[in-house]
Amino acid sequence: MRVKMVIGFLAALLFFATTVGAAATWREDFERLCGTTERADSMSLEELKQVVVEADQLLETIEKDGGEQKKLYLFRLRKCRDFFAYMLSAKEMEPAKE
Amino acid sequence: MKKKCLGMVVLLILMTLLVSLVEASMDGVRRKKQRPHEYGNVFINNFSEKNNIEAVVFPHWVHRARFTCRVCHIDIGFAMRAGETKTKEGDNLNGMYCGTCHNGKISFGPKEKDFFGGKKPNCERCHSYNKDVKMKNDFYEFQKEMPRDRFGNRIDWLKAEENNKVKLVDYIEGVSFERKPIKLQRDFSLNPKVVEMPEIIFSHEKHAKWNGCELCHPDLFGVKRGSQPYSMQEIFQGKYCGACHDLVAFPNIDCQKCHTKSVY
Repeated sequence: MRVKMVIGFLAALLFFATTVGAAATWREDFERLCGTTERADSMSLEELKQVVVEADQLLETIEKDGGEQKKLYLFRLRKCRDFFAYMLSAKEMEPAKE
Repeated sequence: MKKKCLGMVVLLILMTLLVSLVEASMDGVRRKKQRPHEYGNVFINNFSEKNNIEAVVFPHWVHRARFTCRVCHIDIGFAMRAGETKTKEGDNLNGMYCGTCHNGKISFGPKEKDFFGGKKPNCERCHSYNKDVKMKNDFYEFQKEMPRDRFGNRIDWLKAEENNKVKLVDYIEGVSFERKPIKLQRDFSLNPKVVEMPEIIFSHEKHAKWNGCELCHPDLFGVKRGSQPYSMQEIFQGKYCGACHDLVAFPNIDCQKCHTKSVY
């Protein structure tokens, strides 16, 4: 009986730690991606593409694990993701430098 | 004689009514001219009336005197159109949206001290539509110290910041990112459709200072510069520049503010 209680407690602890850990991870990713919009002008096409791809993946993560502040972070992430996508298309439309 | 006079009065009233109806049908809904302290006010009523409370009257002037546009419309997450954010009381109490600052620490919270030292709800400080609520920030006292302008709030907000009359906060702890200054963008000119109108000189620097980049791009301006013509009709309808100008920033009737470069 005691063993079952200990296992149950450890499982709950592990689940809790994973959930909190996941939240901490996506917030870090969010700050890493959206904290650099002021440098977008100097980013290369590859960097911009990479940022957009990562932002799309993060959108899915937040949709699932966003918690109480999901609505807010989805809004902010879409704003910065769309801005990077805009910069990417603007740079792609620029005439190639000789 | 008396009958004649009565008849004339009735005819006059009918004619006045008829003229008003004709005018109304020609002009559509005529907006009431906003007084300086009202300019920029936003009414928010997603859930208020349904919950038997007055709609929120949000005074932009109080907030723009303290914060950049970006802090609220990017970092705190408010949409650019009234009612789109769909803020609920629970969101505010959880420290989101209005509750980011209105928590009793940065600014007043949902409860304030009463006469007996306890706390009472002060909902009507915000839920004040059609109520005679005296604001604690007096607009006209504030306006006295500010450089003047012709329209809108009758305050030249740009000059107010240049002259250090207002110091705009661009960062909120726990919400905003530490940002490096944006690489300076050059002003550029836009050619108006009406050839006789002076060119528009657009200052990216002035806009980016308060808005950042993602507030305008791509939601308001999503295409390559010069590839899509903006019409004044669309701007007056709230698109492009009209998303801010005519609602919070100086109104579009102040033509000379944008059409500054002489064609002669």
